[in-house]
Amino acid sequence: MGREIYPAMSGGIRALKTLDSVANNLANLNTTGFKADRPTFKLEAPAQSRNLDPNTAEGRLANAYAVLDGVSTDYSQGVLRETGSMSDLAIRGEGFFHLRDAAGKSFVTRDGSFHVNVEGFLVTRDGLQVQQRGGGGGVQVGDGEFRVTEQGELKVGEDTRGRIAVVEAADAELSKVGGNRWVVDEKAVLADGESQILQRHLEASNVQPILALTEMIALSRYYEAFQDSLSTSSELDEKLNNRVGRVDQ
Amino acid sequence: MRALYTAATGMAAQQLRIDNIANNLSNVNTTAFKKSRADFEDLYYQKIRTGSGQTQAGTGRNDVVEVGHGTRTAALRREFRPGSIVQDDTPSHVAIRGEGFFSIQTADGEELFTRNGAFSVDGQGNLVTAHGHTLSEAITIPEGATMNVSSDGLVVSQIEGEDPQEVGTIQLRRFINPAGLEALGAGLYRATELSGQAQIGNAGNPGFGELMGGALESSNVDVAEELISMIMAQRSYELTSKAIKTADEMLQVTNRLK
Repeated sequence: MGREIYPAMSGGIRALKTLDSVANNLANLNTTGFKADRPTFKLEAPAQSRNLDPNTAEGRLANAYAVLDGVSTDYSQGVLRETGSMSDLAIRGEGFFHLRDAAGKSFVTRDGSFHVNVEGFLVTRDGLQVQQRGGGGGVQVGDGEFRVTEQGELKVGEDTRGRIAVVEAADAELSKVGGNRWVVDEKAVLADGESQILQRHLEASNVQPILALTEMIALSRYYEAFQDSLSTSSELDEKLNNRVGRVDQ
Repeated sequence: MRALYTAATGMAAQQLRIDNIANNLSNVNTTAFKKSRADFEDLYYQKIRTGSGQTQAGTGRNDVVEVGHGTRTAALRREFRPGSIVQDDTPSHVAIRGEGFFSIQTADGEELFTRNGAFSVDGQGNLVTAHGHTLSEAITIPEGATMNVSSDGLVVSQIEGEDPQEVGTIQLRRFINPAGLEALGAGLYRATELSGQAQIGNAGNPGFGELMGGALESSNVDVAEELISMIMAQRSYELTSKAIKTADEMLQVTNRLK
């Protein structure tokens, strides 16, 4: 077989990897604050290995492979729905809730299904403390009814107990770790944002079913085309082996 | 083919969601039932490096790709929003309007908590739950007397023709994190490390609800909301199954390669 099967194969692998990501998005259709992922691929043309000029058309196309480059996350707003539960918070606009674990490690999340722990702090399901603006530490809610204003001020009666941080972080500083969280790069400095917080609301996943379905159809067909190109290549080889050099009588 | 397993986690999540909806709906007429909500979270991500971490110019770049593995059920979270109060004029029935729990004693002396105030008077005159557990305050109604519970929990009994008599006060308990209580069924809850210790207080005090005699609290299940969730769960289930189908089709193509 000729070299042409390898670029085709890289395309086939691309389709399989993309499907993994589509499946993950679909599995998280109902995950609070989930942001859809999409793998990105780049064209890699190791033209040098064949001593071709990479600036010519031949050089660009020779052995061009699709290579997994990264995952781009769609940070667009998910639908906000009312839950009625006092400790459910949602962000309208950009930004994240800032969390810290017991060791002080920073995480961010868009999943605001918090609760008040036994010490009176606002925490996630896993016990990570929700942080105040400007590095003020955890938010001590105490025991009883509380109100969160759109600016994130946490009020118990008329008493303000702190302002919940909405931090801005760049895609490159974040990496998904599961549990609806991103771990923040140690070098990153999280700036306070100005997005609004809505109490008694949660943000739904931003996965768009129609996109996922369309993508799956496209991937299936693409994969079939990849198979066809391999078959064609194989037929050519067969002809090469059986016909070239034979003198027909 | 990771997609097959990833999509399967999504289908399992929707199944659990339907199980939970079914439980909420079947308890729509259960006194003081508190509905649960299924919360999901994404599973761990596998990190794949796609390069050396350097650009051609030698500067650092983030080239770690995270590939997700689906979803899992993080919690079935009980919501303690109050249900509506329904008056039934049975004197021994008591409803809590607002926050709080009744404290009861089991036969082995364990303290449990409930919001179901469908009490009755047993053979010895004790105020007991439908399962025969006594209230921690041990209230005894004299034979032949009527009873009346005031909004602050004071229980007064009266035998016809005699003066009313105070027989005790029903106090309430509250928790800093009621969602952390362990549900035992039959409307009973047990305190855990997550819920914190029970704090005791009189009905009507700050943070505690008021009591209402001759009434019961209905469940806080909203049927319309549950039905919408059910539709969502079913459609999500279908959609996720399509990912499995696509993965299967692609595997078939792979098998045709040779």
